Amino acid sequence: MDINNLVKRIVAADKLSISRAISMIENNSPDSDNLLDGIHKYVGRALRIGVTGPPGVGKSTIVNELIAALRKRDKRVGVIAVDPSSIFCGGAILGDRIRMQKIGVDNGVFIRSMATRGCSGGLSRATVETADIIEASGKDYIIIETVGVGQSEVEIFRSVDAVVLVLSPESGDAIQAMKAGIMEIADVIVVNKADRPGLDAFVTNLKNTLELARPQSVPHLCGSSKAKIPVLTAQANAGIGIAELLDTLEKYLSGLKESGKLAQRRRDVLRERIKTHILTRLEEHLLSDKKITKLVDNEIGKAGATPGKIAQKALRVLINRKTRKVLIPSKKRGRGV
Amino acid sequence: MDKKIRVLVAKPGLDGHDRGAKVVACALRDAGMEVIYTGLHQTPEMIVQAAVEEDVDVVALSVLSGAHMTIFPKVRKLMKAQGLKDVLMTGGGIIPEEDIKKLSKLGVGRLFTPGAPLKDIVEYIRAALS
Ligand SMILES: Nc1nc2c(ncn2[C@@H]2O[C@H](COP(=O)(O)OP(=O)(O)O)[C@@H](O)[C@H]2O)c(=O)[nH]1
Ligand SMILES: [Mg+2]
Repeated sequence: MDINNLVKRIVAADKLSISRAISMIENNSPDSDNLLDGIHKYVGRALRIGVTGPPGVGKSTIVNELIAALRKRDKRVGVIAVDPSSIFCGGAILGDRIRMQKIGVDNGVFIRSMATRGCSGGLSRATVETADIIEASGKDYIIIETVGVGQSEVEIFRSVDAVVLVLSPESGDAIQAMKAGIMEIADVIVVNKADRPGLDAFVTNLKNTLELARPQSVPHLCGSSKAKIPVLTAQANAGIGIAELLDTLEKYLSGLKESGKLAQRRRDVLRERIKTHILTRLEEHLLSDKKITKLVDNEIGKAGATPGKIAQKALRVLINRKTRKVLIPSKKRGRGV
Repeated sequence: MDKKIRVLVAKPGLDGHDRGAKVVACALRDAGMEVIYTGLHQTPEMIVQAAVEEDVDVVALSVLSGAHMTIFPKVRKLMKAQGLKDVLMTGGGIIPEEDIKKLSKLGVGRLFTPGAPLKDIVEYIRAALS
């Protein structure tokens, strides 16, 4: 696989090359680190928006309308739609594209569906890296849709610039369940299906809940820590409320940019990514190193061998000249030695 | 994370229901595959664009409208043009034996007629990709 060539074709927005590169990331190909290094200088400009909320509230319909609205403003858009894999069979039905067809065939848009593949830690990493690949093809916006249920899905949203939480007048129970989680990281809330009964009562209730549930110091709010989170309404299947949503997002993001908080937030994200990278590498090595496994097994049960002391012994074996070669591969070798 | 078989299930044309396609999608999912389901009223161009973006191993079309002799060749041709020559194409519908033969000459894989056991479809895809 000629990585330089692949990078060139991605940057030229060749859809098949983008697509194959994403599969390399998803399948944890040994070349993926080199690939990500190759595209790195083309990444960092696009704005990244997360769209989350309970199943069926209209997330994909909103994304569909956002794509169309952004295209009208001459922006190029990448979309990643994440759906859960079945825990029983490992398969998945990825159906978000059904609602994302307004724009039809368009070279300025790239949509990719992704299954969670039952790996909690790896999901957010694969999603961010996929976003990088798509962005390198010259996109102005990256939108990531997930059902905001599991911890790993919540983690994805630590890596975007703004999170849109979508609810509907029927989401009363969902709010109770989400109060502590996703509610805290939402930057904008959209109450969709405004045509459904109970809208006003729901919005009033929601605002009350927000005042109680939101901690004082949400780190990435652009205004003061007490800034009110915008609550918008929409009827996405009729295209109503979408322009307002986009305006709110753009205003919010430019606020973040001007205050320097966007840069700060992205630094935090990168720091976290690097940490994950180091830890995954170490963990892979630790799990595959028979010497260490043996050492640990031998030590367990010995008099005076506390977990702390055994760990220290193992670390001494883990960190030496020989393992350095394995842990830090030369240019040609990739991830997952 | 390991490699999964990815299948695009689409329903081209104007006829109105996609029950059959949904049943097949579920069977493939239950067999551990990742099914990208795009729903009704797909044009050949939309189907092939989705196949490109999703990097699928298989494109499965459900054609009940009788338009199979136009839709399958059109999609196949576009797939070739987009670099998807090696992607398996299969599907189902009310398709006479002689048409199945003609389509097979164009590079279309096995086509299943109504009533075909779901496990045949699953096994066919697995075998064709292995
Ligand atoms: N009544 C109503 N239905 C909507 C609205 N927006 C989307 N829907 C419908 O809600 C269903 C679920 O939408 P979808 O976008 O797939 O939801 P998701 O699961 O959150 O991505 C679909 O049948 C949509 O057509 C809306 O504003 N009002
Ligand atoms: Mg959806």
